[in-house]
Amino acid sequence: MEQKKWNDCVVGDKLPEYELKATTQRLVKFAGASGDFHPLHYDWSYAAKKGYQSPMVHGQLSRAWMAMLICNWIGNPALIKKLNCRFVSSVFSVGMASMMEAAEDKVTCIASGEVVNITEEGTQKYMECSLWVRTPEGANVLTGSAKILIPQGQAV
Amino acid sequence: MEERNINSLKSFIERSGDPITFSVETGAIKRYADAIGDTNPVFTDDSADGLIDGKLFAPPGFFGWPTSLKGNMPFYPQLRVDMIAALAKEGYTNLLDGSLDYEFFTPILAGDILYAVMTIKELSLKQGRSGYMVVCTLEFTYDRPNGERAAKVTQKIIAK
Repeated sequence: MEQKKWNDCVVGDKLPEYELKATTQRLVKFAGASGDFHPLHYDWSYAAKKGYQSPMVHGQLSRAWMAMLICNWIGNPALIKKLNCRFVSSVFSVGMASMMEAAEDKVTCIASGEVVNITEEGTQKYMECSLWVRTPEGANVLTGSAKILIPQGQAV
Repeated sequence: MEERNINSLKSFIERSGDPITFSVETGAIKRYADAIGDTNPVFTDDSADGLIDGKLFAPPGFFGWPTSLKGNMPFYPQLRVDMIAALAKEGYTNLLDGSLDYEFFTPILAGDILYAVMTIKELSLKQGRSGYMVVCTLEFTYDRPNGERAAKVTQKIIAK
């Protein structure tokens, strides 16, 4: 079945699901790109000393995944007018057996969402979505929402 | 349980940090997209369809979230360092992400220059099941050299 274009969606339609993998490599890359080098996010022995099973995924990486979900769905980030996220719980990385592996085949989180409202403000039309990042078991890691401008009279 | 107050922290409320000027760099956008695993070409490919004037978009999560504790991020004003030190002095040393609310007014592109200002909007003491905590509400505004507002971000941090 052909997937609807995002701007044809109606209230109740679901956003695509994205499977996300938080390998140690991913966390090290994110530390470098963000400047957040807290060892809890990549050092397995430090995490163990703090009582965690493995390094904790940066909260800001989970948030970045939520933003990625909505950007990839609509394509054009300039249409996002509001993006809200609430940090609910922590998730932890999966290890890599060797540097030759791209990632272990284990999903850390799943990002998705749902269209919850279509509104009009003056001449502008907006779509509001609820968003979430969850563990594969269904526990919320992050919840949030987005308000997206629906362009009128042009291809999206 | 011992009664607590945060009177020593009240002087931080409504204070703003010095403006920080930064440029939105193409290389930094690409590194960020690669780091989070984002393959959307508007963040990675200078010749992608849909770019404005051939400039990459800054991903929505690219800025507005100072998290580094040592000031090695360009959005980390001294005021935030001072606030965290004052919280630690009162025994609140564990900082947790609470929430982030973004509002975007104009597209932010590679090559843009932005002036960021952080303001401490509120510090409130709460008592939860695990004890006292301070909820810190910070507002970041991002303005262009011509004064136009590009974005506003409200961040809540929980200090325990």
